[in-house]
Amino acid sequence: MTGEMPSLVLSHFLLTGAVLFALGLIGFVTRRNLIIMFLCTELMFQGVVVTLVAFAFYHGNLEGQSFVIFVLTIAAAEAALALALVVLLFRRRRTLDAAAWADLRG
Amino acid sequence: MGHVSSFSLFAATVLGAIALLMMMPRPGGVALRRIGAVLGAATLGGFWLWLARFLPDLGANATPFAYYYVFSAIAIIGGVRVITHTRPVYSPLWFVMVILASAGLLLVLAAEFIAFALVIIYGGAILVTYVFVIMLASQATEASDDSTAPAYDRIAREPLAATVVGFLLLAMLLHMATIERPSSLERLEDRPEARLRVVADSDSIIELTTLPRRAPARVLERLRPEDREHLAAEFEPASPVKPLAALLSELGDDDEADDGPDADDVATDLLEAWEEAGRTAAEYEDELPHTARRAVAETLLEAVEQRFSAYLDRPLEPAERARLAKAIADHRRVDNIERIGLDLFEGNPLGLELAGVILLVALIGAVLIARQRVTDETGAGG
Repeated sequence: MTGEMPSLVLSHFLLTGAVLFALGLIGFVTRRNLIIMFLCTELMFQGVVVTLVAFAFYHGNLEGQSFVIFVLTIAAAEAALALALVVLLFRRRRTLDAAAWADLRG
Repeated sequence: MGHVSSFSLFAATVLGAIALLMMMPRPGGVALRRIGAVLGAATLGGFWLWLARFLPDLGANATPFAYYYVFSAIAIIGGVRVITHTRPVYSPLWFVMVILASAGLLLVLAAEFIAFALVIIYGGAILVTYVFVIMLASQATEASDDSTAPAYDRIAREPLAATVVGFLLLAMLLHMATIERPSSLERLEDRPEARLRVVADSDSIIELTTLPRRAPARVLERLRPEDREHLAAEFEPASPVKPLAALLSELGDDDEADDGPDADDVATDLLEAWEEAGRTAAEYEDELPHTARRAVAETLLEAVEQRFSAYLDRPLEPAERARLAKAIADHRRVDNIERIGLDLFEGNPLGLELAGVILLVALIGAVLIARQRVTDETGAGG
């Protein structure tokens, strides 16, 4: 592409980003496995990344892409901490079921 | 550009929701899941076909668009498999497929650094961590038999409510994305100062006369004079003269006339033409950045071509014109990585520092959390 994107073609890329985001949202609420729940938040991040870069291309400057760097940073930090916590919780109850923690009793 | 009817959008969303509901993990419903998969694929394909009717005539640009369809399909299929797969080990693997497809999409959008950073960081680091943790923290199941998987993997929790809410959100997002709306510049008509800022941020004019290396003025002010001189030499805009003059002498070798004009005069003349074209191109400030960039490139090409014809005493042939256009484009091209680096360090250095601090804190936190010794609570109750 030569750098000129009609706004309906932009909508196509936004569609992909929105679908990925919605899929991540549904997965997060639906799955009961703690690890898969966090994987679905990463899927939401993917949707956001695609949307950001599509807008960066549409506007012709690179601010969207610079922001994606920050999104990647936060995603990595969140993944590390979330998985450490999940491993800790697994050691306590020997199950990855989110319902095991439903009454919030530590 | 067309207006996508809301009814088709909502119909596609409802069909997609039904399809996803059918694909959710549920006890003993394999046939239903397959039907759901087919229905989902048909919905997505149908919606794309419907959207394609409104596509403007892309002409030569249509080929990268085929890439969009392929990568999007892979990404969406992978996303669906991530959330509907019964066994937790496979979800990160499907997610890797989503990452690769996203990287492909980003390549189509000319974001090569982000595409490969995504593959490296997500696929190479984050997902590897997920797979390892899943292997460490999973309960043993038979590989072939689905019914021995733990209940919390086999059955979806509140699938109907989740799907309804999720697809409602999707429908709203898509509605916002596909309705026709004015460009961001037009809407700022009533706020002139905001409009100027939007135009100044776009580097269509800056790209014209400056090298990518540009030092902020306030940095240069604080330097000692001798340092400033040294740095200013490094940050001077690269002259476009050398490649153009080389091309001119190469084109001119075919002429019979041996006594070409003086090299310095040629250089000055070309530089004047370049800067003059830059000044006239300032009238394209009002356009969207990518339109402005192309208009600026055309202005430059015309101005330099005029000078070339004057020197060669003949109009340029199409092949030569193409070479000239390529030489100009090569000179003005800025690497994607370079531009991102400049944007990050000039635009938000504070954000960069904060990102580093966040990573450090996350590192310390993860190590501390992992070191805790935990008593097993299930010893008595099971």
